[in-house]
Amino acid sequence: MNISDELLSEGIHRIRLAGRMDMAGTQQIEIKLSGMTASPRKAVVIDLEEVTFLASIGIRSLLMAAKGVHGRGGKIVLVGASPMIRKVLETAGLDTLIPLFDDVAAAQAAVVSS
Amino acid sequence: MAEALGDEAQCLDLRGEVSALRPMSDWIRSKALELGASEEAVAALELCANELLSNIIEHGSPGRQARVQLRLGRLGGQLGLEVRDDGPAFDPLAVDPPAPAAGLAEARIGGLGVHLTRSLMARCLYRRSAEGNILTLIADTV
Repeated sequence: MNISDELLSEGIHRIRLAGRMDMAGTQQIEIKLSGMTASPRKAVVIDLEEVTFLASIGIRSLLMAAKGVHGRGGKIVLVGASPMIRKVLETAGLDTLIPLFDDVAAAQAAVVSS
Repeated sequence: MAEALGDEAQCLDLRGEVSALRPMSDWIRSKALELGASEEAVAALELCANELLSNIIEHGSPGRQARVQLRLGRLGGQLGLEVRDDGPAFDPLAVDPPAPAAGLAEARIGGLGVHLTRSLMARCLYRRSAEGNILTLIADTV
């Protein structure tokens, strides 16, 4: 898997994940994902557009990252999931814990403190 | 018995190791498409098989690699994928599903793989044979 990180305006961090988020793929990115969502970051958009496969180990990694951001009063959302990835996230109940957006602008607006 | 795959089922032998996951996915994808499954059905079967093999890799046979055999074929109008492993008796279907979390702080990590498998498959069946565990995933083809 690949992971990259971009600082946008208003302190928003957009993290892009790409590849298969199975056991091997998640192991490749989980330490970086944890670092990229660590303190003091409080506005995080995780872009899943290039994620082609998502297993429960990948969901756990997203959940851990979200717990960290949420725990310090930040906001984190997901964007760009394909129909299958969205179905997996919804079946896992993750969409009720981490908001899921189709539109990047809406996702970015949602993590800026109101 | 409607749950048993016939002799014409396709077979794949694997080791319980991380490097087996992607060859397994490729095999399931190509065979299930040949059997007429839709892209959505293939994706669900691929994911559930991934969850099962990941569990076998992580927990299946402490201290050694498990031997795993897959058999894929038609079961009436559905697809059946049988996953056999030679580890200690374990019925993943007997594990309670995770309770829905009220929020991120309460959300617990774990138990998701079995929950996804039960939710995305039409049916799942477990039995124990003299050689090991046999879990059969039954998927709709559309």
